[in-house]
Amino acid sequence: MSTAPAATVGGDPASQVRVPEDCLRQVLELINRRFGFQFRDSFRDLARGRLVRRLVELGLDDLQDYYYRLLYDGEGDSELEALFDVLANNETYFFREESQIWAVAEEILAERRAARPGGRVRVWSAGCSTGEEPYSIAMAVLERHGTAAREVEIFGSDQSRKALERARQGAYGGFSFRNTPPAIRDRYFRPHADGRFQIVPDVRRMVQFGRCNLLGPAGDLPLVKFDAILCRNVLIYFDRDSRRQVVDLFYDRLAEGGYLLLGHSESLLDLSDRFEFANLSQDVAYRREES
Amino acid sequence: MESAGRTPLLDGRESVGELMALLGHASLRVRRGAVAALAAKDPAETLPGLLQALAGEGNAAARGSAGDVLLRYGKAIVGPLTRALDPDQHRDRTIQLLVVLGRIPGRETVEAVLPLAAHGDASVAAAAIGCLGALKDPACVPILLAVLDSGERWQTFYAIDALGEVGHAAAVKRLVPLIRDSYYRKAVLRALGKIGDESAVPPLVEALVSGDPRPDRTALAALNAMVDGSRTGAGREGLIARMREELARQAGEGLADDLATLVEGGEREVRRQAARVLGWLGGARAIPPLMAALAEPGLVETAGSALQDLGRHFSAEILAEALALPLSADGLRRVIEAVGSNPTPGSEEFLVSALAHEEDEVRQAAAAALADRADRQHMEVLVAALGDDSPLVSAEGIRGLLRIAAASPSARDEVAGRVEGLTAAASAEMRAAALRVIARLDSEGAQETLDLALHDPVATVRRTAVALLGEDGNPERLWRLTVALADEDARVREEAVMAVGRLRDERARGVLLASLHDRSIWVRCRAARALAEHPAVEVQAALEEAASREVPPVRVGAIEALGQLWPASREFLCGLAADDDPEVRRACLRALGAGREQVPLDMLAAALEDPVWSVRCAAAEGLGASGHGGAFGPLSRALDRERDAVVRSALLTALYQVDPESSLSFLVSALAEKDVAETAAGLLVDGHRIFADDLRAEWAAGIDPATREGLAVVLEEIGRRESARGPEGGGGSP
Repeated sequence: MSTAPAATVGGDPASQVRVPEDCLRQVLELINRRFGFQFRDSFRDLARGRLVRRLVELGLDDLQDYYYRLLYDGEGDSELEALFDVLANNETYFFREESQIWAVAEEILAERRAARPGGRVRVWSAGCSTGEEPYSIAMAVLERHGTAAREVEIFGSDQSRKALERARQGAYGGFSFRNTPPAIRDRYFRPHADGRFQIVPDVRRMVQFGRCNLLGPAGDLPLVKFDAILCRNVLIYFDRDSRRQVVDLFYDRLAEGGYLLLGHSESLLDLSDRFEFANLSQDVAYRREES
Repeated sequence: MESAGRTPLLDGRESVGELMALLGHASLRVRRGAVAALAAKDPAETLPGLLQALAGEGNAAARGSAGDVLLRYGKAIVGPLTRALDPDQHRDRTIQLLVVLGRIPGRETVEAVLPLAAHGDASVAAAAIGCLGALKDPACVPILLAVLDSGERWQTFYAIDALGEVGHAAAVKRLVPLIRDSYYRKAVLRALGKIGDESAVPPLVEALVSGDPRPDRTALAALNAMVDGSRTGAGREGLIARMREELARQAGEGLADDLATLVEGGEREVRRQAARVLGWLGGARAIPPLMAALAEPGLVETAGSALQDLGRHFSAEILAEALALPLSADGLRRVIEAVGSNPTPGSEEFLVSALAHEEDEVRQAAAAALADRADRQHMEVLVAALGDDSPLVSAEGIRGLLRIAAASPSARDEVAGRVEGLTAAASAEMRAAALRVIARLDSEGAQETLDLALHDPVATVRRTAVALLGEDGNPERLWRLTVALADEDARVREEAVMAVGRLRDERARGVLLASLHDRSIWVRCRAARALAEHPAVEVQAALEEAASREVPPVRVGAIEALGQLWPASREFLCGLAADDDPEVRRACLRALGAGREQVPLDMLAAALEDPVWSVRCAAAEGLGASGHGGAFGPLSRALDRERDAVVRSALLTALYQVDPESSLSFLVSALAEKDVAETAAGLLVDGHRIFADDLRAEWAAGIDPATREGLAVVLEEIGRRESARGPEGGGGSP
């Protein structure tokens, strides 16, 4: 679907976009059918706002028209993917909720190494968006373990091709560093002429990225068990059934004794009773029991 | 944990007895399977076993599973279940049954359970009271209030809880004195929060400030619960206004500090609740904790809303905090919205720097704030915003420049002069935005500038020029627009077709008919829709052809247009109402409904049972648009069976459209349904000249609390409208 800025000639283009409730639901149902995600009811207002922005970008002023284009346009499929990116956009930055990042690099890494001497420690950042989270883990591991960090494999996954492309490029604007100590930024990034910062090869090669729909086929997800899975501020968008399904996937993909770290405002309450609660020194996590 | 290999798997051939035995199985999966299998069997066959399992000692899982099966049967077995209530012979079974019956609401259940609330066995009475609370039936209120006088502490405790669940305002007065009893205090505060009546605000605020430790956490949660449970936006606003008033009156010294301490640390939900109340309390002390909360994803919404109000008085403090925090884009946007309208020292630099932010929503908020200020000194930053990648930012730049230009002729000339040069800018976004400003200023030479832009190398700019040229429907533009119809870019042609459709000119019809054969389906779709404004025999024939043979979106466009060529198109549209494509059916039903007198009622009514919800919705809309009194019956019957909230909303609207007076009872009942309450309230306010007296009578007669809250909001709004109309209108507040 070709994009063109709004042809709106006066006033606020967003306020001129018609979003009938039934069409909003139809569009969200299309997303559900294609990606398996069922957005929770409380997400609807946020979705409405993001949809309006998308329509303005495309120069459309009626959600009904957009819905038909998603259904019938030759490029409707790729637009549906772009829309999913817009709706499920997870704004992130380096060292977000950093106590969890350091917990992975310090406590969890040490414990998993002790549990399997000589084995590689594998971390999955699920829903990693543009890559700030897995790179933060890589930097934290390098900070704490230096060259021994090579024994750690980090896999970052996301549904969005566009986000993964940006993650692989590893170039970030200043806003991504709003919680990063300047010394760390200077150590692991090189400034670009355009004002962005490029991640250094040592960190880049610690992280593999792949596409994975948490509710669909495994996609690029490696056929291994992980020692830690981070999935932060992703499940908040989905309804309970979708969340349960994702948590079941995490359970299956965790090694025994492996850790699941959710966002600070998230929990497994009503989702699963198969994990035990694990107190870390500065945070809490869930843990798959050892048999 | 049990492995799958050892789990007895159900194959659908198990007997009732075998399934009963599995109700208490250690595996949840097996228990769920047994519940589903038993629920599919005839209740007459399973009921004795289930009642026995319900009273079984030792295995709580079996009791829970038996209850689950009964719940799946639901209303169908209320009779046998209420007859099985026998506290004297089967005490344990009765207690378990009361738990189940609490989840099967209905008058039959209420009547059977009411006498047990005063049973001599305290556990039976407590279970019955709990059941009545779960049933949420206002008929239970007098019995529950009587329990408060019983002197039985255990039952009283349950009755307080149940009154909260029922949520009837009549309970507030009786509950408030019990706050002083430390045994009941928490239960009463929780109940008052659930009831949500405005009259509970003063005692809850008093409890908040008098708690030890202060603020009282239960009162804090209750105040939040009142607002969260409110069914309408206006109801929420009314409650919040009352809370602000009471907080200002009762807070005293130190409450802000105590709330701030809670916001700064502790459990997330408590922090959210404290942030909200702190925002209602206001004052400079609220700023640092709210700003810190703004930096956290889970609290950004709450803190942002609180800061919005505080921004009027404390923008400098908000700004100072914002510069020191790692705020998200959403957080920054909210800061800009809070401080943007106040020219505090430093705010201008803040807004200008935000215009260079990576996130477009931040740039948009900053551009909007600068546009609102309409300060000539900001002209250059607004000009820069015109070239922004985001059309939303660019639109704010346009708005700001036009506001500056509106101030005086000299300002207008200055803006026009500055923007004129931008039509040759390197950036296509800048050129397109400049065209919009020039067209709005209607400067000399604007026409020529737009003509030239029709040949711009970038489609976006050409499209903008076409939109601007076709805006006023001036037939003299036909030739220029026809040229644009040959543009290589489909979106430019789409814009041209829409513009031609607006022209009041006979020649436009021919141009549009030709566009029905454009290579782009979207141009053809637009052409079909635009032809609705140019009726003629050949237009109808062409549209019928398109509606029959085209690809779906063009069919839909043609059907929409045919709907406006009524009644000539009636027969043709009726033939499409059963089309395989639900989108075609949907468009067709809407079009048919526009037919008024000759609307095919039976066809639309039948579509209220279509398997696709959006088609049912369209059928309701069609019947509503018809305004035909005969539609009322089918619509009200559909409302009885329809469970989909969007369709229910459409049905309510349609009922109101076809017979406002008769729709009253449906609309009032719907005030108690969270998903459709806003629609019902809007319609009642819209029809206030018909409804006002009846609504006041409803209010006086006493109604359940959920309806009462919605009705209060409606009556308040009606009162406002009547006051605005003049002295004969009378007051409307309940």
